[in-house]
Amino acid sequence: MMRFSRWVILAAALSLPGALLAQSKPWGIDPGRSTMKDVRSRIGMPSVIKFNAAGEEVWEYNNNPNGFHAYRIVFGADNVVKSARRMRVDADRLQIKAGMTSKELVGIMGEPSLIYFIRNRLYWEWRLHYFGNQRHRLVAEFDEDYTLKSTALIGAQYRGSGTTHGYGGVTP
Amino acid sequence: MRTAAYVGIALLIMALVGCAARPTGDAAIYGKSPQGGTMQEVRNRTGLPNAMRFLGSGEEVWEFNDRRVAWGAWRVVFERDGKVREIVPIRRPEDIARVKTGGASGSEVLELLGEPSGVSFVGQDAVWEYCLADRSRLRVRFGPEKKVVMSEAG
Repeated sequence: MMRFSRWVILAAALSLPGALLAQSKPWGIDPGRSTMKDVRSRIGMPSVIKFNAAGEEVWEYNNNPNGFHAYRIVFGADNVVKSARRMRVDADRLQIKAGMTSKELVGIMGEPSLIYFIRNRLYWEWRLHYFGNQRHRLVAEFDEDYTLKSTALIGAQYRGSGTTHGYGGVTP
Repeated sequence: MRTAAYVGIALLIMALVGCAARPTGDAAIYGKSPQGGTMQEVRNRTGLPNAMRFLGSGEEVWEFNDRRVAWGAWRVVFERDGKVREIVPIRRPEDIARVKTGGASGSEVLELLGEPSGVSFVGQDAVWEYCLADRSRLRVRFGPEKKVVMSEAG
């Protein structure tokens, strides 16, 4: 039993660098080297093309409405990747504060997976991983003035919503 | 004889209904426009937008541009209180003409034509491809300065 545990720990330790590399360089996209053409050929068409406040082109792969992974790739003026990272992670979620506008929320989390109204109140949802790889839905409720009122994390299998069965979209 | 009269009347009614239902103006060119006077109504009647943008003043813009099946594209601009300010078709001839003059940046092209249907490359130059309402395709090529250097429809 003791020997088995050692093997498990060894395997986990060996797989950790690979997992970290996959997170830091999705699809092997290497900031500073990879070009926009590389990104297009390896990942495909982005879900959203936009320009940030600095005027840099941003491609988002949000895998909406069913995916739990989302990626944001920022290009420099020379069409070389400036940064490539996963979005909708805990660090993003923790930036969300009551009173934020829809523009600020999209800037942090990307476009929502779902938009709906209940009793005339606006709700947005994103699908994300929480606490490791636990599939969750982040539900944002807006106030009457269309600013964020509150958020709630709900397990993806809550009430058998079936969200875990959806197509997961593109992942590295 | 009576049957022929009934058939004739039925055909006449069908023709009248067909004429009444025929879309006119922008709708004829760009397909069915989004409907509704508030964000909730647009969401309920038209569905989720294909892209969401924000004006410099912070107002929310929903873009309906189903890249795979539709040729027309629409933009819905909301006031801060969720009311619809305007529903306008994009990729209009005047928008295309402005892009064709060259020199526009990517963000200006996005504003005029919306999200491209496809992105390809000539060398390292990006080429954005749009499906237009007249069933033609527009290719917009960006040079190294990330400004439009060439656009052609075909």
